[in-house]
Amino acid sequence: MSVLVLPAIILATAVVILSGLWVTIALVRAVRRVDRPGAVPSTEPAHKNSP
Amino acid sequence: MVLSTVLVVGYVVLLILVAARARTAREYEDFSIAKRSLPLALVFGSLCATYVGPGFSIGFVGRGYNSGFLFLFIGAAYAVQNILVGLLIAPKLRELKGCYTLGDAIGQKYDSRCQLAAGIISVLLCTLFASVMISAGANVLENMLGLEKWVAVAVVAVVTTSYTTFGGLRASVITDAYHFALHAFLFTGILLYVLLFHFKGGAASFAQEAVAATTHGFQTTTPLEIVTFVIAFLLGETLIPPYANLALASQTTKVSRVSFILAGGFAIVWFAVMIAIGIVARPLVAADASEDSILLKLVKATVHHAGYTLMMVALLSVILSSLDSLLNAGAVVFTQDILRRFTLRRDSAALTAGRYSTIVIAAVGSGLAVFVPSVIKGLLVCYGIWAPAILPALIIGLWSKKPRPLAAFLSMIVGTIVGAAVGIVFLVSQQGRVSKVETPAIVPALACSLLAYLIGHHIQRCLGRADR
Repeated sequence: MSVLVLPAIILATAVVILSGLWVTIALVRAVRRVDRPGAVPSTEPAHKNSP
Repeated sequence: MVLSTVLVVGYVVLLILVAARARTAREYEDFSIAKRSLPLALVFGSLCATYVGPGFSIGFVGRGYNSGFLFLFIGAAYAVQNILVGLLIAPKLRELKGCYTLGDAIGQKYDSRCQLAAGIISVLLCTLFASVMISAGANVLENMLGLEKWVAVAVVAVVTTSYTTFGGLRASVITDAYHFALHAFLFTGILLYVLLFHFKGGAASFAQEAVAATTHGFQTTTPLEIVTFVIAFLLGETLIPPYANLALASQTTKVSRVSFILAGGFAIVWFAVMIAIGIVARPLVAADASEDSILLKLVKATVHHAGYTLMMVALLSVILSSLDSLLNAGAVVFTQDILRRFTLRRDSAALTAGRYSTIVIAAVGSGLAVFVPSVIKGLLVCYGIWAPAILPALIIGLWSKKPRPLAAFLSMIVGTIVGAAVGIVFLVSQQGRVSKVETPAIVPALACSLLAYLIGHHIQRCLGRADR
């Protein structure tokens, strides 16, 4: 059972790397898109006002 | 030395290029909450890059070396905190109209006096957190390039302030994404490299080291210490201003919710990787090494000099990504919760004030950075004040139908005073010694804050009855 610890760690490492890739792709998109006018509008304006 | 300088300069140039592409914020709404336009991946990356500071990298590697997976269980409290914030608080914050800061949320739920108090506490805390981060970044630069402490402090502060001042939250978030990618690839790269080329015995040997370290961790840590650590992880960093700003700047309430939930899940895998680096260091680093030096000693012992410099760059990025978020959050809070209460109604004036505030907070933080005794102790003092000062008022206010301003005001004042007093007493009493129990300030301060909230609630209710 304890031998499964290392494979679990390798899996966690893969998740961290994939997260890094996901954010890198978003970063590249954001950096490319950011100069275009109207490229990043909020799709959901705040709507509830609580007194 | 030349290679080190080239790598550091390359990292800084790339950082500035990325920040420059984020463009200058031209409106206050852009500077403070990026026009509520941030997509899921960027909010997630920024959240993770902000919370992965020195404690969650160097600190966890050292804990992994000494205590194995004990700190994975303790760190799970941090993941739970993020998931609870994602489920219960972040979407509620995002739904509020005209809300730029936590102070705005408190002001909407209670009154403007409470907003002012929340603003002052938030700015003070952001400045203290920033001073701790500047000090940590200066330590890395000192070690890497052999600079004088004050020069290293100035370099860290000037580089971070330059892009945060002009680009506001968007620049902070985009550079955080760059830093997050660096963390994700470099730290996992170190683990895989050591496992492949230096750690002998494979899965069985790893399991043996992990069991030995974890058993040692449980034997040397008392239940009281475990409880206090869990409380600190559960509450210490909850919704500090940079996280609250990200919740408010998310594209939608769904993005706000999901980003915190994913960041909570990521915390678990991140801690597992950091602890695993500590475990593989056990046969390679001498047992007398201090906890904070395990990571650097491991890298020095196993990787080429360039790899060591890259590791230092990764550590610097860990620190800068937390610092830029703190500077931006502090500046927005100062402008929104303090200056705009009295003056600066115009958008352009608020934008200018936000920029100058960034510089002032960085300057004050740099001045304080020289006096920070240690990164961990500095962070614990900040945690001990933040949670008791703000969380009871904020959480009860968001969920209560009729929150009372006197209750929130008393809770914030009492939480701040007790948290600061207990933190300072512990710092002074521990001078020159290392305490095993480092996190108790948050518990008594939180209890006093909740008690003050209850007392304030009942006093105002009684006063209201008497008036009628």
